[in-house]
Amino acid sequence: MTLPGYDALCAAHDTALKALHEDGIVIFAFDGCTFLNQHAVAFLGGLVRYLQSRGCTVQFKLSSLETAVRNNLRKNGFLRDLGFDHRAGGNNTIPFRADPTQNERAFLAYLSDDWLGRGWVDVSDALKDAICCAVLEIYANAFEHGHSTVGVFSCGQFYPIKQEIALAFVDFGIGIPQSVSVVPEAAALSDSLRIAWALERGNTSKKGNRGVGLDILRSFVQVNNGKMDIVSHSGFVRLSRSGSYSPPRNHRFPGTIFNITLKVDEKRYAFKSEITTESIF
Amino acid sequence: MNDTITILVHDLFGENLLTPEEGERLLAVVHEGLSSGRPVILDFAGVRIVTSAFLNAAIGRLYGSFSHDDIRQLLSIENLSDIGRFTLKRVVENSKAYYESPEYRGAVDAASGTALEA
Repeated sequence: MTLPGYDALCAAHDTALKALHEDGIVIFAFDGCTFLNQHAVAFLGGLVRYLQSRGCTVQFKLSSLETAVRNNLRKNGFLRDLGFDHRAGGNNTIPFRADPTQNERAFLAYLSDDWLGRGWVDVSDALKDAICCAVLEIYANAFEHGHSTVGVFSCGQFYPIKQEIALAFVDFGIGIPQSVSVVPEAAALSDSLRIAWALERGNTSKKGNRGVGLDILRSFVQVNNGKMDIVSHSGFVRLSRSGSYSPPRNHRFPGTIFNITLKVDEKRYAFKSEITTESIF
Repeated sequence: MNDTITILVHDLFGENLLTPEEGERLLAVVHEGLSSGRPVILDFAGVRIVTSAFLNAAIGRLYGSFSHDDIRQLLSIENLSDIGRFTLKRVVENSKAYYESPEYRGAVDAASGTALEA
């Protein structure tokens, strides 16, 4: 299995930060790039905002964009959002979104309207709501615990051949391995194992009856034949129905990338709960 | 007097239950009802989206004030979606482990820092 470009994005992050410190200017060039998937768009959009927040001048070498890539970045609003282009809208892309502050209601509207409400998802309203519930757990977690100074960035893509929808979240905060390092049980683990630890029910680095949000998300993805990648520091965990997988990585990213992929087919979902109301307590 | 108290959640919060602040408002209502010793029904008819943050605050924290037996005998849930029951079940299991085990609670709180909710 190959990692879908995460190391390349982290390498771009390293290069940009080096340029920030040395020159105060970063130029993004896309030579050789033929497609930018949802996590690349969310990551690069967030990186631009992060650099700008630190006083960096950011430029785009627009001539390096192949037509297909440029059109995609127009359609998902990436270029418009960053002030480089004013045309947007259309087809299989789900808009790039920047949330400088936490606003669950606005984000829920984005999920409902732009991600699941575009007519390409042939699932029931109940399942759409269930997907929204699960994805909101990522959003809340990124804000509550990522401590990103520039917020959370997201972007999505519909893959019609695979009949999959994907949504990526990126924050430039402290990362999961650092977050859980305050817990002695997790502190001795590798970055990948710290991420895996954070996904288990009840494992939290916050005081109180916490620690279920990511467990719910993990269970939802695995029960419903989905897939989720989590990249943070030098750790990587891929969750799927067959379990988790953590290959080594070559680059370190201080924040966190969540990349969730779900099937657009009601028959793929086995979420009909067997939990009766009486058995909850 | 054991008249049942029925709380229509949608009437109080609408169709989307998202934040812990909203959950704390519901907690206050449920807490008052259970404190009176009367059965309480939480009716989620019309509710579409419910997050763990809301349920943690609204129901999970009840285990800090009431026993497991009291909650099971007095509190009922109606018309909650599949994903809602899935989430609530996990919230309840986690809250019971936290509030009913001083050893577990002590370990969690001693280890807690400032960051990620797993």
